Formats: sequence, C-alpha cells, structure tokens
Amino acid sequence: MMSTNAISVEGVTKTFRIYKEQFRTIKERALHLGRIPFSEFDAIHDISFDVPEGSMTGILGHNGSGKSTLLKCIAGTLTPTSGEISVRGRMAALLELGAGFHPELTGRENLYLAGSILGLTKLEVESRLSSIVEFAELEDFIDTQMKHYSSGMFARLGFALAANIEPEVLLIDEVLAVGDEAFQLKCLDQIRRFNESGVTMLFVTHDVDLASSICDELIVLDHGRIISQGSPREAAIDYRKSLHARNDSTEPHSTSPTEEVSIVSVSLESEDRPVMTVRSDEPIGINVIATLTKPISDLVVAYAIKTIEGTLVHSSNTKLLNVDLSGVGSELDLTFVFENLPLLEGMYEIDIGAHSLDGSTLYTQANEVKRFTLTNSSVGAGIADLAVRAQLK
Amino acid sequence: MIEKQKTSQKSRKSVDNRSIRKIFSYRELLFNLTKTELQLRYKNSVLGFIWSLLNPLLYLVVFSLVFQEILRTSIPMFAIFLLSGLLIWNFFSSSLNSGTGAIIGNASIVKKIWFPREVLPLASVGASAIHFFLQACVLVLALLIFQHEPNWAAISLLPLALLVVIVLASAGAITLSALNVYYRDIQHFLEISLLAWFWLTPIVYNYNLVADRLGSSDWVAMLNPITPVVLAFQKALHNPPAGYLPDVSLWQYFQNLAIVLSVGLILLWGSLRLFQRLDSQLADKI
Repeated sequence: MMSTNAISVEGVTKTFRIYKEQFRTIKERALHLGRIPFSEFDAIHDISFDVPEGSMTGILGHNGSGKSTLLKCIAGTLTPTSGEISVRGRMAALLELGAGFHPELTGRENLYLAGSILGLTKLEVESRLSSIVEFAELEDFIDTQMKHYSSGMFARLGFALAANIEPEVLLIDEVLAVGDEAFQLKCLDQIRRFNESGVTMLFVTHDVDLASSICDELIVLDHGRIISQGSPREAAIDYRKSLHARNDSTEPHSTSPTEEVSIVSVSLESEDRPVMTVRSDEPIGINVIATLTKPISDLVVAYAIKTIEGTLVHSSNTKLLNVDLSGVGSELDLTFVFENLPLLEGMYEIDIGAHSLDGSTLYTQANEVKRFTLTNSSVGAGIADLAVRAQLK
Repeated sequence: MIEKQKTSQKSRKSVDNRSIRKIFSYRELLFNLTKTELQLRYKNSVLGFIWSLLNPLLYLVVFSLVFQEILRTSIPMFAIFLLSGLLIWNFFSSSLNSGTGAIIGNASIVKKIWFPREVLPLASVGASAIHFFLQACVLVLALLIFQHEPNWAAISLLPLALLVVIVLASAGAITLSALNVYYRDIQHFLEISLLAWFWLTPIVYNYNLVADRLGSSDWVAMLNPITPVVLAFQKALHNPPAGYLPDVSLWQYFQNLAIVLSVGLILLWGSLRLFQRLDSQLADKI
C-alpha cells in the first residue's frame, strides 16, 4: 500500500534580491532610471522532500540555513521563486507564537481575532475557548489587555490556540524556545499527542537533541541545500559535523588541541532515548560520539558535570573508570552510565574532553557542550542531595 | 475551516475568481478586523465613539459660521446641505486613508500567517462604513431639530449611492494598500490628493455654481466619480429649491450613479487582479 504524502515539496527555490541600496521612493527610482543595483541569493535552493501523512519530520539547520524561509513557503506567507509545494489537509502554521495578537486587545478578544486569521469561525472559537484558556493557564487574565501580559503568557496563549484548532498538518518554527520549562514540557506533551493522533508535523529547530528525540525523520539544511536526510541519529551526526566544520573555520580553539579527535555529539540518554530533562533518581547516560582520524593508543575521554555557575560537581574519565579506548577505530560511541544523580534541582552543564594517558596531549575539548535540567523534589541549598533527616532528642 | 482540502503553492499563481471566493470564506476575519479597528480607535478614551460624532458637529459649527455668516452663502439650511455631502465624503476619504496603510500596519501578521491579504484594506473600508452610519445619526438628528423635510422619493437613490462609494473605496483601498508596500510615497501623495479632491467635489458649494461657469462643458464636473454620489445625497436629504442642483429627473440621477457603479466594478476587478500580482512579493518587500 502506498502511503500518501501530506506535504510534498518539489524543486523549490526561493531567491531574494539584495539591493545594494534601498531606493524606495519614486524620485530615487527615477534618478536611477529604474535600475537598482542588486545581487540575488538563493535562501533555499532546489529543495525536494515529502512528508508522509501522520509522520513527524524535523528540519535542522544553523542560523541562516534557510529553514524558516522553507517553512514560510510551505505556510504560504512567501511564494517560492520556482518549484511546487502542495499540502493536503487543514494546515496550521506556528511561525511565531502569538502572531496576530494585538497588545491593546484582551486575551479573549484576541482569541477571536487570531482564531479568524487562522480560519476559525466565531462558533468554533467559542466552543474551544475554555480548553484554550485552561491549557494556557490564563483563567484569571483572559479579560486583561495583552499588553499587560508577560512574554511567557503571550506565548502560552499562542500555543494554546494553535493546539486547539485541530490541524491535520502543523508547521512549527522554533516556538518552544519560549515560556518556562513546565510549559515547554506541556507543549512537547501536546506535540506527542498530536503525533499519536496522526497529525502530520513539520518541525523546524536548531536543537538537535529535541529534534532527534521526537522526530521520525530529520532533514538537515546548510546554506539553503539539503545535506542530509534520514533517520534522526544519522542526520543529527551529519548536522553536528556541518556545525563543527563551520566552527573550526571560524573560531580556532584557544587551547589549541590537536585535530585527531573531533566530538560529533554529546547527549543525555534515558532508556536509550535522548532527553533534555532528567530526574535525580533515574539512571542516566552521557553519550559521546566522536570521530578519530586514526586509532589512538593512549586515548582518554573525560567528562565534567558543573553547575551553571561553573562549580565542578563531579568529573571522571575512562582511565579512572578502567575502560581501554586503544582499540577504537575511526568512530567512538561511548556512554558514561550513572545509576542516579543525587543532586539538587537546577541546571547543570557538561564538559567533554579527550587527552592522552599522561595528560600531555589534548586531543579535543568541548566546554559547556551540553546543558540540562535536573528535577528533584528534595529541598535544601547547595549542590548535593544528601540523604538527611532531622532528629529531636 | 483552516484550509480547504488541498492547497497548492505554485511559483506563478493564476489569476481567477478564486480570490473572491477566498475573501468570502474569510468574511469572519473581515468582520473581526473591522471590529478590532473600531475597538482600537476608542480603546482607553473616555468619550469613546462620541468622538466620531463630535467631528461632524465641529465641522457643522465652523463651516456654518464661515459660509453662512461670513461668506454669506445663498444655500438655505447650509448645515444640512454640508452634512449631506460631507459625511459620505468622509466615508470615502477615510476608507482610502486607513486602507492605504492597512498592509504595512499589519506587517507582523502578513509575514507570519497566510490569509487573503485583501481582507486588510477591506476591513478599513468596513470600519469607515460603521463610522459613516454613526455619524449619520448626527445628520438625522439635525434633520429632526431643524424639522427639515427630505425628498422622500430621492431617498431611494441612497442605497445605490452608498454601494457606489463602497465599490470605489474598496477598489482604491485594495490598490493603494498593495502599492504602498512598494512606494511609501503613496501615503503622502494620497493625503494632498484627497485635500484637492475634497475641494473639487461640490460639498461646501453647490454643483450648479460650477456647472454655470463651465457652461456647455459642464460634463467635466461629472468626471469626478464622487460627484454623482454627493449630488444624490444632497438631493435626497437637503432637497434644495430649483437652481442649486442639476434640475434633471431622478431617473437621470439614477443613471449617473449606475454609470459610476459600472466603472467602479471594473476598477474593483482591476484592483483585485493587481493585488494578486503584487501579493506574492508582499511578504518579501514589506
């Protein structure tokens, strides 16, 4: 049986004209006889892909890779210069949470306005109103002018509206970067529910871990071209390689490590799934993927967990943990496994480094390569979560 | 609903009647945007919509003072005469004024969400229409206070005259809103053009004053498409004695309006076509 495609993109190119100077007025145009010097550049070039119905595809790319342009073309706000895009089903685009909200209007008034921009009738908004407000947790503020909202409240109402319009095709652009963590988790939850109920989703982000943890397939864009397309794990590696290539050319490391080892990815895993938030009482793994130009007999890989302020919490390395890396060929896939992390709730960072056994040669170093949130219900101040109780005599 | 069954983005869009159907399917948005524009105008103001009633009242007092007491116009019941033409002109000019900035003013939405953008200038026309009806209350009140009897037979011209203004204003607002994205000069140009246009329309003076001077070439005065509309309103509501307005049959008034309406419909069709051609580049240029 052939599965149908909800979104199909065929050879789409979007060319922007970059004017050397902006001659907007008639006088200026007349002076230049209508010829304004410009150069053309393709924000996206000959992009083709299909998104099967009910699947979740992520588009990864660094800033300026054309991922937002591509999404806008699919959403219809931009018209491609050439190529064809077709979308099957009711489409909703979350290009920016809260787009279409007017600060002078109240939350309720804005829901009707933004709802009708998204194509909902008044009755359809009315019937969803209570669930939208509940989802956004804005029961007390719905009749307040939105200029008094915090940016988080703005975004919450935006996502709540989008989550409740029951789209068949949903385009999401970097929208989860807003709101507090609790709400981000709620949004992710909603996205998973959409996924389960068969909504086709196209998800644009530069957060590799997030994308690889929720998407079925990833497309990696670099300078407007697709450089990789396929399973999340492979695509994520390709993406990191492309980022790495960019970083190497632009900012050389101050510690001047040798180039025998390059770290491709560092991720946190729980039950073999990438995660961003960990609980203090569950097993967790720090997974490191790196490429080696040649086998290194005295390779040691080290990690350090630090608080966000930079205080070292714990560090160790493969030598101390009695793992021999001399047999590793061109690709290293290593996981440091923790039974639990008895630390207090907060944000932590991971450094990864590779050096020789005696420490004389630094192969690579990646500081603050991974930031994660740890949740813990224990209270207390400091870093460590010590098992303690108070006893009165 | 959100989008119909299948949407297709092609690099070249074909121009056809679908745009009208699209606009119609977004009528709810048109209604909401109109409401929003009115809401925003009076948010945080104590007197609210009373301000829009004070505007024609002020015109009434000042123009009556100047034309009746200082310039000694011969038009009887000048206040009524002035309001009959002024209110419908205000409808037309404010539609164009706010319609021109409609797309630029909503840049944040235009860049992020797809919807038929023609709705934005049309909402400006809608808001101006609501305004017109509010201000018309002042005129009705004036008719009652001065116990001035309108020309009941000529009242039948008004729905058609109103339709003509709506069609002309829509065509203008749609065209100007899109062009204004490309040339920001449009807004300033419009401002002075409307001022000239106002004085070239027989609103504060009567039509025959001009027609008599033009003599046999009085058809020139009729080239102004708003003139037949203003004349219809003056004929119906002010109903001056013979000699002030063209002394022709109501049928002739009706015919003039019908001619302007057909021209207006052609302009509206042209404006929709132009808008569609410019539409694909709007988000890039804005």
